[in-house]
Amino acid sequence: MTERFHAGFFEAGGIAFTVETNRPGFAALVADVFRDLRVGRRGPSAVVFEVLHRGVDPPANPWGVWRAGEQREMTVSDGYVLTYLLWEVSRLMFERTGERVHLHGAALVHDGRALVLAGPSHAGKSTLAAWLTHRGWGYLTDEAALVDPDTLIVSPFWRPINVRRPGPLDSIVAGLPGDGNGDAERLVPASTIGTLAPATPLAGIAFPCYTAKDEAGIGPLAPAAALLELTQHFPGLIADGRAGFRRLARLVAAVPAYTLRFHDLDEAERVLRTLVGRRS
Amino acid sequence: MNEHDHARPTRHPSIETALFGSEAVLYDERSGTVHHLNPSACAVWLLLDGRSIGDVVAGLAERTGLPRTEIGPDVLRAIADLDEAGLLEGEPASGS
Repeated sequence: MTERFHAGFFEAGGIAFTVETNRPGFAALVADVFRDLRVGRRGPSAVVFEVLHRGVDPPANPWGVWRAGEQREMTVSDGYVLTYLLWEVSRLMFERTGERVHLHGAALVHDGRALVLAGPSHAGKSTLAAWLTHRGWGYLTDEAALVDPDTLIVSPFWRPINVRRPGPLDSIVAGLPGDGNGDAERLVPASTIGTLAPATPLAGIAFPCYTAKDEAGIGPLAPAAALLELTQHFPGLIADGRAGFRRLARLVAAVPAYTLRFHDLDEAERVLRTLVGRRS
Repeated sequence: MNEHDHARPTRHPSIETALFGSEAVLYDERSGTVHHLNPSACAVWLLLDGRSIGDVVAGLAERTGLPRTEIGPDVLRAIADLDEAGLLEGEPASGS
């Protein structure tokens, strides 16, 4: 029987899970990169992810991933396996979202008020989230914001931030623990660059758009347009069909939405700080 | 009175409507797709409750103060677009 290594007990949005692997190096990597999700020992209800190296050499993709004994993916590369595991963990959380709304975006806190940065991939959400965290905003999540449409509370899901390289965060993340492998992306525990925030009421949703030269600017986005943005790019977000859509519609009706153009991260931070500081 | 006036196109029961002022976003639970309705299309959509097209035109004419002959073609076009998007059930307004 192959030896198993236990990476630790973790929690994602209140869902307990563990990670087991047959490679000690990978167990150590998960323990390190998932450090902000770590919790004390959990009972048998924790979902077990098995991430097993099948012993094949490159160029074959050697990793297989199981969730609660069910095969999920059998050909995952060395450079992608941690990202894939994180995606599976996020998926587990979304499947058990309950009455909460899942937004594809990061969530940060300033002055006790949360801001969700939503939008399509490559819009600059993660880069901005990491920068804001580095500049003193509290970190709630990246890529996966869970919001209660009634209380408007954003739940923390302290997953590592996905930082692209090369990029403006290179100097910040250099030398920090995290998954590197020399690839174009790197998962960085948010607590290594800033502070983790507890559940916080939502003040607004911003849709960032990186531009090559424009000065940072923010404009209002009508609720219908915001709902369209949130659903058109990510139809899978409407979990739970009609009921999920109603919850999402209720949320955008209750919270102001904005478009954010930015080029310089510090300028974007200043504009967002002013925005969150506004009291309705 | 024209040939379409008695047709009764109706909002499909699989469509969920989220209304924001004069605009709407529709969710089709069969396909998971969403549609945005501008104020004009939204005004037509909200009247597609089983009444005849003639009554829809009359209702909008009363609300806007515009003559039926002026808004009739726009209403037919909007209904045809909604029908083409699969958002209606009942007698379509096709052929317009």
